[in-house]
Amino acid sequence: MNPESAFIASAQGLANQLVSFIGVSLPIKSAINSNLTPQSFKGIWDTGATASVITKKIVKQLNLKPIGKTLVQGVTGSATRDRFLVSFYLPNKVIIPFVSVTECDALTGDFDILVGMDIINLGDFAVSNFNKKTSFTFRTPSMEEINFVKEIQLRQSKKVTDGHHFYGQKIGRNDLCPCKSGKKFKKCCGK
Amino acid sequence: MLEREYNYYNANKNELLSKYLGKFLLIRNEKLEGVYGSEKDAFIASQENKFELGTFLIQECKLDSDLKETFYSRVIFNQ
Repeated sequence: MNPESAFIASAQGLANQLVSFIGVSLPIKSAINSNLTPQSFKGIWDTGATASVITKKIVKQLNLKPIGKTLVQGVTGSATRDRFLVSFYLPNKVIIPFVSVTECDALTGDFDILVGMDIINLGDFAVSNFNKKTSFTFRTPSMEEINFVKEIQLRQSKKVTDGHHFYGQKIGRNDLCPCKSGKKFKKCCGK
Repeated sequence: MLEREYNYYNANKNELLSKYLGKFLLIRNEKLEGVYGSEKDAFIASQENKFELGTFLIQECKLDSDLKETFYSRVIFNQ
């Protein structure tokens, strides 16, 4: 895997599914197929899947041969299905080699790849809806914990200790302190 | 494809689990060809041995309950 790589995918507005195009190829050259040029397919990112899945269409198109079997439990029942090794080419040249994927009959919607927690667990993953536009971003490897609680606390403490501003409002020295202590700002956080 | 290899694994599962729990087994023609620490290592070994794709099985040696993959949406397996 490349050191520190990332991509962001943005929808036009609010999205109810996280979608990106993903290139797929064999993991390494083989005797029957030496072509490692990835072919692009539409993928959906799904935190409700423990592993990644590809459709029969990809298996046929890339002439993939199985390397194993996977026991699967879906909403329509359980089964044993073929497993393949491939490389995933995510947007912005984020490459994940040797991904173990299971073949499914179909995915609802016009998708050919379902990206599961096996890929998401390789890095950091976040979804935002700023200005009513859904974006999701993914980076590998994991660099730090994404913690909105800590972010807000840091921003608030910084603004209070700045002495004069809290959420963009100017605070006078004789005003009540925004930390809700009941004391004047000059006797509390503004000391 | 790979039914023969998969059946071999299932028929010898108890013995293989007791010997190689957590490892990846490379099985071909009802024979254990090698034991590896990762699926990638097993695959690379298969290609170094010039095993044709589709003729060998890489099987993680784990209890079935630990191997099962779960999908809560979208995936259709029994069409």
